[in-house]
Amino acid sequence: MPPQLFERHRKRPRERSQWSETPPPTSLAFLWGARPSATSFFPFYTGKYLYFWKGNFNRLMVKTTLEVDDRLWKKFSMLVMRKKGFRRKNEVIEQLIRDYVESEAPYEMSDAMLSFDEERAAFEGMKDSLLMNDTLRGKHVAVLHGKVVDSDANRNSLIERAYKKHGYVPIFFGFVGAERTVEVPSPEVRRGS
Amino acid sequence: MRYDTTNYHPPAPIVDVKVFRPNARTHEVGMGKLDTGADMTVIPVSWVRRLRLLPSGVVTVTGYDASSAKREIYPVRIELGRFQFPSLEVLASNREDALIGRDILNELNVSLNGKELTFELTDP
Repeated sequence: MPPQLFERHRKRPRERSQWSETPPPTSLAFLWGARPSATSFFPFYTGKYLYFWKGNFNRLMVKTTLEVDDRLWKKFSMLVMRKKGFRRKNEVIEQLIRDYVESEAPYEMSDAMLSFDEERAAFEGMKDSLLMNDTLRGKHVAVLHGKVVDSDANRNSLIERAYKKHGYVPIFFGFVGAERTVEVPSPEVRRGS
Repeated sequence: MRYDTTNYHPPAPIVDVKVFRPNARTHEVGMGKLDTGADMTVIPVSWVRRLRLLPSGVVTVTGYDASSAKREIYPVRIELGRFQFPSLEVLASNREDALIGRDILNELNVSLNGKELTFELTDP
């Protein structure tokens, strides 16, 4: 059997997968850096996407459908087959998406920003209960992995301590009280305008 | 110190500013315009990207036309000439220079001599 055909018919190695009982995520923020917290044996389908855990990479994946011009798809398939071998189209498409995201939003869409948004959302979610807490009301809190890990009346001390303890990682520092508003009112005139 | 009459119209009091990532030596150097109207110091967003700064929180920022928006703030260490500010949170904006706000200026003695286009920063 020619090597290509052997490759084509070879059984794919089974992946040790972890399936999640967590409700289907609604935002991209959940897709990155997500970790399975519970295990079951069923994937979940939201009506639009099929979600599943890919055990090898320990992250949540999504299965989606693309509509592509037939000739374009055939050309793409042949090119991938020639250059990369069989069953590599997913890999190439994922890399193309990754390159696009990197080039279009190198900073905003970074994993760090998404993690920060998750921590911020966690803080917003628990803010009401924090306000009921006499020891935390009026203080700044550090939120990491969705939990309050430290608090202090002095924001700068808290930031310094938190980065020292947990490293320079996305941590949300929120105030348990009224939100802060700052003014940067200076209008500027550009030369020539 | 003299006002910058070349890049700013009308001339503006400009200082050299160094912005460091927290607990690191990585830094960006640029110009900072003294802005007594700004509650917080603002740095260019390009510095935030190059220093790979992580945001620490979010504040609502209002502009001169009373428009407001939520913006991320970034903890940094700042050197302003010979003055050091080891722990400070700043805003980021799509601009080329920094705005030195009252969070820094209120720690110093600032005297502006508009007539002579000179200014002084001292720590009494």
